[in-house]
Amino acid sequence: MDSDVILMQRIAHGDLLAFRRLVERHQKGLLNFIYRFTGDRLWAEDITQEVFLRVHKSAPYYKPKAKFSTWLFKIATNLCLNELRRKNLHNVSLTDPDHSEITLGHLLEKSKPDSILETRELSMAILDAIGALPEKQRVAFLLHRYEDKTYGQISEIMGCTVASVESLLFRAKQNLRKRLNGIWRTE
Amino acid sequence: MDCQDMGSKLSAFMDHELTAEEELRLKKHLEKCQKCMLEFEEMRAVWNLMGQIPAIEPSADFWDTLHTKLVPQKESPFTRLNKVAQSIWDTLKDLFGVRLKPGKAHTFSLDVFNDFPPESFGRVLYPMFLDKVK
Ligand SMILES: [Zn+2]
Repeated sequence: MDSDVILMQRIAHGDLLAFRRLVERHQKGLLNFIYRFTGDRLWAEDITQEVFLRVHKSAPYYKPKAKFSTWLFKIATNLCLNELRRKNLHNVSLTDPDHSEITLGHLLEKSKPDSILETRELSMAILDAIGALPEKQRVAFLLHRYEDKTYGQISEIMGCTVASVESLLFRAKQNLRKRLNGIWRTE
Repeated sequence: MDCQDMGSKLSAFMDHELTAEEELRLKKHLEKCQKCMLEFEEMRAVWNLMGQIPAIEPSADFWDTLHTKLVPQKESPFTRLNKVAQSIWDTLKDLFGVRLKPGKAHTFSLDVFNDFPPESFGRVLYPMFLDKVK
């Protein structure tokens, strides 16, 4: 199988098939990353396509300095953050009294003791909790939890120090724990 | 190492991001500190819980949609011809000082072409301009 870098070189020369292979290789991962970030399926698909359009456009100038996927997620992260600002989505903060400890408490009350939450409810609750994280914590957490990126890679993608990645991830986990308080005990 | 510094270190430990030395110190602390151990277990439980969102699939026409966005919309032959006509018109304008003014005058000057012989330049250009004027 061709490496991403080789595919990029072929794309730079106008090879559409190479582009298609690259898209097929990364579309699902990227889509899910963006979906978990935005919580909106259709929107996520739009942004994912935009990422690939940018990849295609910049193929002639692509220099394989970092790992390809690092570069890819850097584009995706910037787009997500820009899109979010553009759409001016209300970012629910954890300290917001109206939204503290939402849904999960209710979900737990509704469900019988010791029962496992419906998968759908559970994943909605998890997505909610992720969506409530401040942007940077959210990006760092998604990259780490679902994309298996190391602190070093995340710092490269986000353009910050490893120490701040450590701190972002710690705070993200704390916030998620507060938000999802108690839900794991039912399992 | 006391419980105060534990927070972000516990998190980094879970992520296998500590140096060997830090890891050793942290493990020693965990062995004798119930409170931090509990904290660590909860953190790990949340981590596992977060893994329970099913992945979504890209829509079936993902590539097709992307592909249409990728290939710039091909111009219709008419649009292309129209552009050629426009540039010819611009040249004519410069050469003979013909003026295209907005509004009625505009339509009027184009109507002049109608009187040209069928095979002439003006007759060919005319229908294309009509489209623009409307
Ligand atoms: Zn302790």
